[in-house]
Amino acid sequence: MLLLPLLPLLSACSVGYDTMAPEAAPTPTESGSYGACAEDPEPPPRLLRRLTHGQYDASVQAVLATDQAPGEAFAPDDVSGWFDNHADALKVSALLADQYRSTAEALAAQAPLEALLPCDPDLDGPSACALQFIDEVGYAAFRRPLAETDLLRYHGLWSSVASEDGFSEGLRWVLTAMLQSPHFLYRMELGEPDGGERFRLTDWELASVLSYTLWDSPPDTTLMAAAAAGELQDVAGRADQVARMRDDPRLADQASRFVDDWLHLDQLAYVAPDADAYPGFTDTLRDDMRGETHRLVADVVRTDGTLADLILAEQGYRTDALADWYDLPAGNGAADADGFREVTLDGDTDVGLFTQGSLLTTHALPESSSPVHRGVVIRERVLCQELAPPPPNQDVSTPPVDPDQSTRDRFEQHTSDPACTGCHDLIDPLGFGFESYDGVGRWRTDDEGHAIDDSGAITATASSNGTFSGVRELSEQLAASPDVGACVVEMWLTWATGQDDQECAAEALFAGTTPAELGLVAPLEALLAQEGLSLRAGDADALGTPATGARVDLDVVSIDDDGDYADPVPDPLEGLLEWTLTESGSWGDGYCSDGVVTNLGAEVLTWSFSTEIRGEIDNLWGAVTVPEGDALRFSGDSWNTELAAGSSTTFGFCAVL
Amino acid sequence: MPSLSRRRLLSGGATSLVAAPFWNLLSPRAHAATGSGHATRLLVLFSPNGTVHEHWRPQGTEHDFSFAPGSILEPLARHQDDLLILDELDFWDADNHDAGMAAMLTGQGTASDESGGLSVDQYVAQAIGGDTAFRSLEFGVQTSAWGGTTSTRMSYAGPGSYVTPDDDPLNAYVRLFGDQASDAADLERLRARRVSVLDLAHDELAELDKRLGAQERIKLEAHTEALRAMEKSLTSDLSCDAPLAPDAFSVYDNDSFPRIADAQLGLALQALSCGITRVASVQLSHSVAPVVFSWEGVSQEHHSLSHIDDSNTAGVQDFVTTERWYMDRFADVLDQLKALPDPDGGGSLLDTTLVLWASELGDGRDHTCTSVPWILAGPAGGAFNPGRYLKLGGESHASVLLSLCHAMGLQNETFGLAELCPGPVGVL
Repeated sequence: MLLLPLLPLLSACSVGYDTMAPEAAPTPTESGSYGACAEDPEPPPRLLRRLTHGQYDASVQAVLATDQAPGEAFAPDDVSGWFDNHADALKVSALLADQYRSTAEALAAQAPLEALLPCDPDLDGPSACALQFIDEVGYAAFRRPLAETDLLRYHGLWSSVASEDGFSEGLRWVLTAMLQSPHFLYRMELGEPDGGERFRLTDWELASVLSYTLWDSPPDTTLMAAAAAGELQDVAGRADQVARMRDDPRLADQASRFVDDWLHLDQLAYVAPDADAYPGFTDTLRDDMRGETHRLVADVVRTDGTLADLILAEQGYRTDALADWYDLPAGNGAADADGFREVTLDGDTDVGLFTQGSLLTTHALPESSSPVHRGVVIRERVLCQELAPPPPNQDVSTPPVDPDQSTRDRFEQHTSDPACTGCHDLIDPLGFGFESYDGVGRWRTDDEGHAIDDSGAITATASSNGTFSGVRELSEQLAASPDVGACVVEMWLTWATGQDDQECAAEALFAGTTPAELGLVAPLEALLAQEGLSLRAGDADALGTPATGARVDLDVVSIDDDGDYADPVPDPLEGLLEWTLTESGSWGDGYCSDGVVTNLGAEVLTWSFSTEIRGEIDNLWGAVTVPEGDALRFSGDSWNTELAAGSSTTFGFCAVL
Repeated sequence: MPSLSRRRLLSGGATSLVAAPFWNLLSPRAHAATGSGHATRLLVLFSPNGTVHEHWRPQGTEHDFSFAPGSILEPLARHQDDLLILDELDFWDADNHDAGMAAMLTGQGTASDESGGLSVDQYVAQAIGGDTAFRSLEFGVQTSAWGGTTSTRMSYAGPGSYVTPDDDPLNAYVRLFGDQASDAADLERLRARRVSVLDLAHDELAELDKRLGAQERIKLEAHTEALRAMEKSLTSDLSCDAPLAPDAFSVYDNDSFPRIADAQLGLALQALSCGITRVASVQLSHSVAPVVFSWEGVSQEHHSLSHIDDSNTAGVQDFVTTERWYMDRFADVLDQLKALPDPDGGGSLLDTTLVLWASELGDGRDHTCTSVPWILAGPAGGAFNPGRYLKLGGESHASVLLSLCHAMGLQNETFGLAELCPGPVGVL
C-alpha cells in the first residue's frame, strides 16, 4: 500500500478532513466537522468486488484444500483513497488475467481430484459423476449453488476435453476454468430487484459479505448452511453467525491485516535501514516486529479489547532476538512455534502499538529517525487529516545527518523558515514525540551523544489539542480522543466496504466514541449488524444475481449420455525404462535412427515404449512395432524382449518421408 | 485515435505516408513492412527524481559537445552520435513528483483530447502494435511496493487508468517464452484447451454483463478486453528461440535492484528483437522511490539524495553516482540495440527503434518540472538526426511527445492537452 513519502518542507499548509485541499484557506479545517449527513442515506451501489490477492489465496485454499498462496506474487493493485482495495480500483488487467490463467492451470494440475470427487465414475458413470463434481466444486468456488446454465457450460467443457484426454483431464480443465471465472474472481453484491432502484442481496451474497468482511475468506460450510436456510436475511440470524465467527482466529488475522494497511506496516518489508548506521538489523527482525504487532492485535481481539487497549497495552509478545534488539528483558513462559514469548511491558518507554519496532522502523530514514515520517503517519492515518504535497520552488532538501546536532535540532532548524512552518507545525510536533526511538525501533537516552527532547503537541484538531512529552503521553491523549475514534472507524469502514465517503456511516454508528470506548473490531460488527446491510441501489431495469435459489436437482439436468471417457492407462514402465532415438543419417526423403533402451529398475522387465516418428518405417532391426493411435509402440524382437536390471539393448530403423 | 480530417505533412521524409492516410487505423501490418522514414519500434525507459543540471549538462554546442569527466552523462560518451540530448525541456503547467509523473508520458491529455489521455507508449502501441503477440509490454523494477499510485505509474491506458508494469522478470519471461519448451503437438492441444476456457469465460462475462447497470459494466469491459489481449498472446507463435530464463528474484529486495534491472532490460530488448511486441517500456523504480544504491556504496535513499543542496558536496556526489549508474544501464541498452539485428531486415535494431529515456522532474531539489532531463536515442528509421545537444528554450514536453509520435509514423496533430502542445518540435 501507499507509504507516504517523506513530506519535505512545506511552505503553506492546509489540513482537511479526508480531503486533499492545497488551495483551501490556510486555516486548518478542524477534524470531525462533517458536512450534513442524510437522515435516510442511500444504500450502497450494487458492486462487483474483485477478490484482493489475499482473498484469492484464501478462496483457492478453500476450494482445492491447498495451502499455497500464489496471489502474493500477483501484480499489485492500485491505491485509491486510503487503501488498495477500493472496489472501483480492483480490476483484471491483461497481466493479471495471465497470472490468473497460469496459476489456475498449475493449481488444477496439482489438485487432489480423488478428494474432491463426490462420486465414483465407474459406478455412477463418468458423465453423471463429472456433473456432480461440477456442482460440488462449483458451489465452493462460486460461493453459491450453480444454475443449470452454469452446470451445462462446465459439463460441456468437461465433455469436450474428456472425450480426447479422459475423465480426469476433463475435470482438471473444469477447475482451470472455474478459477478464471468471474463468478470465482468477483465477490458479487448484485442482489435481486426489490422494487424501483432497490436490490436485495441474496442469501449467498450475504454469506460472502459476512465471511470476507470478518475473515477475508469464503464462507465456511456452517455459513453456507445458514444461507441455504435463509437465516442471513434477518438481523438476528446474522448476529448468530457473527457471534460464532468472532471466536475464530481468522477474525484476529483480519484485524492484523487492517492494522498493517492502516499504518502502512506492510512497508516494513521494503524499508532499507543502513547497515553502517544500524549493524545487526536483519530480515528476521522485520518478521519479528510484524509478529510482535500481530500478536498484540490478536490479543486485543481475543479479549474483546478496545482500540485504547491496543494503543496503551502493557502486555505483549516478543522473540528473544527482538527483546535483545530492543535491549529489553526476554519474555517469560513457553515460546510459541515462531519463538514468541509473553512479555510484560514497562508501560512507559515500552507501551502499546506506537512504541513498537514495526511502526518506528517503517516510519524512519535509513540512517536516522524521522520526525516528519512519524508526524505524518499520526496526522494522516490516526487523525485522518491529509496533508497537501509541498509546493514547487521551495528548498525541500532533507537535513543531512550531522554529528554536531541532534535529529530534532537538524529538523527544527531546517523548518524554521516561515515558508515551511505552516505545514511542519502540523507534522513535526507530533513526530518529535517519537525522538526517544531510533530509526529501527530502539529506545535511546541520547541521540548520538545529544540530549533528547521528546516534548510535542497535538494541534489543529477538533477536540484533541494538547501538549505531551514522549510517546506514552501522546498515546494516552490519542486514546482519549473522539477525533481518533472517528478516524479509525472511518478507516475500518472504508477498508471493509471497498467504498469511500464513509464519514456519515461512521458518524451514524459511533458518533463521539473515543478509542477507550471503541472495541477494536466493533466497526466490523456494527457494519454487519445494520438492518440495511442487504440493500443495494442500482439501475431499475438491471437483472439480478445469476443464481439465487437452491441447488439444482442434477437428475433433471439434461446432459449427454456417457461416452468413452476412460482415463488413459499410465505406462507401467514409466520411470523404469529409458529410451533414446538418435538419427544416424538422412537423405532427401528418408533417414535412419539408432535406438537404445535401458532398464533402470531392479527387476527383469519386458520392454516397450510408444512414440511418434516421422515418415514410415521401411527397415527395422532389433525391435518390432505395432501402431498405437498416431504413434508406434516399439518392443523387443524375439531375442531381446526382456532386459535384465540395469542392462541395455539396441535397435534401429530407417524410414521414408 | 488520430484525427483523419486534418492531416499534416510530416517532417523527416515521411511524405509517403500521406498517400496512405488510413494505415494506422486499418493496416498496421502493411505499414510495418514499408518501414521507411520512421521508427517501427518504441522503447521507453524511465528513472525518477530529476537531476542536478550542473552535473548533467553536456559542454559545447549542438553538434560539438562533450560530457565532462565524472558527469552524469559521461557513461553515454561512446553513443554520443546516437543521442538527442534535450535540454530546457519543460512540462508546462505541471510541477512536483505526482503531477510530473502523471504528465510525463500523457502530456496531461484528457478523454476529449486527440491522444485520449493515453500515455505515449500506449498511444503509439494502439497504432502500431496490432500485428504482434503483445500490443505493448511494460516491465518494472521495484515499481510497486506502494501499490499503483500516481507516483508509481507512468503508463496510462486512459485518463486515471494506470497500466501496471510487471516487476518480476521470471513471471515476464514465462509469459513471453514459457510455452516454447513444449512439443509442437502438445502446444497446439494446450492452446486449444486455453481457448475453450477463454470462450467459456467470455460467455460468462457476457451473461453477467446483462445483469448489470451501466456503472458496474466498466469493470467487466476491462476484464473482457484483458482476456482478448491474453488470447492473442497465447496463440501467437514465436519467431525466435527462447533465451535463457532469468533468475528468480525477491522482487522488492533493495540489493537485487541492479540484477532485476538487467534482467528486465534484457527481456524488453529480446521482446523487441523477437517481434513479440513493437512497444516496450522499462520503468526503473518510481517517483519518490527510496531505493538505496548500496551496491555503489551509497547509503541514503535515492529520493533523499535528490533533495541534497549544493552545499553538501558529498551528498550531491552520491546522487551523481546513482544517476551515472542509470546512464550506464542506458549505454548497455544502446550497445545491445546496436548488436541485435532488425527483425524486419536491414540494419541494427537501433536503426528502427526509437528510444526515450524520461524523467518526471527537472531539478529534484525544487520539485519543479523545468529542464527535465530527457534523452532520445537512435535515428528512428530516418526521422531523427541524432548526435545533437538541443536546447529547446522551454519548449513544451508535449510537443516532444508529438514529435515522437510523428517519428513513429503517426499523424496526430496534437498530443496530450491540446493547449499545452503548440506543435511538433522543429529542431527534432
